[in-house]
Amino acid sequence: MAALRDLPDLAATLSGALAQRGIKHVISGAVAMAAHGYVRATVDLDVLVVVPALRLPETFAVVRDLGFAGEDAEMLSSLRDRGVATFRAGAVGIEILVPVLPYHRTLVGRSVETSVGGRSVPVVSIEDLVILKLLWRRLKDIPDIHALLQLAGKRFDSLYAERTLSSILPEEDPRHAELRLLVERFARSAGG
Amino acid sequence: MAEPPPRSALPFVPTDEETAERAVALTRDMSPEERWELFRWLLDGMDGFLDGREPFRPEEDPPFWMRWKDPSLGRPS
Repeated sequence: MAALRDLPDLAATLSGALAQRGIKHVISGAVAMAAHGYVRATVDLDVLVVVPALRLPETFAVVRDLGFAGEDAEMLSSLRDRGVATFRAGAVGIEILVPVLPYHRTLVGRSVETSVGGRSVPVVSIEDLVILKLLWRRLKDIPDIHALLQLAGKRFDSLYAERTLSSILPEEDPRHAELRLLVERFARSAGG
Repeated sequence: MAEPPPRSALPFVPTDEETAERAVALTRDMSPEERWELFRWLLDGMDGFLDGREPFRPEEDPPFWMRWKDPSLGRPS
């Protein structure tokens, strides 16, 4: 049975298997945040895959080969309705995400390579994690955004983040001002 | 004589900036492998706590596009 403590190695194994099949992907969520240095609890491994719909069953088969349960029909239905398909093994979940916005497709190209036990794993950049969390903006995302900005400090590419958010949200959306305020409070005042 | 002002815990509550700094200070100078080890240690504690039980999962979030289209979602009422 999969254990939560195996999540980093699971990310490396899954990433390696997807790469071997030429399936473009990037690790997101708490595992990506841990790679950047913000370590917090989670029960899921989030993976964005950018793949033609015809190859989704092949992607699902890769996840099942790692001991996770989830039938094709149910997972495809979930992807269509919610943009995410969740596979389970004990306490651990693997969430397969597909692009909903054109922006999501760019995350793979902007990914950052990290190393897990000598294996290279692509993770979502800090800037994109902040953007994704601002788009979701669930209550749990707020402390994550604060910590990521604090971590990045002056290295945070606010120009990219503001430009990207502008390409997604309407001009009057309050999240534009919120991002500028948060960058001012955290990234620019932090020592990083 | 005027009553003394009521005691407040607010001065002891960390600010958002202090909370964020505490969340990342430990790992700031760690190598990637050290960060993974810390992550594994944290998750191992969760494994022990769960002891084979399913973790609590909150109600499913509304579909993603409802979030990015409606900025009021996710905000405290």
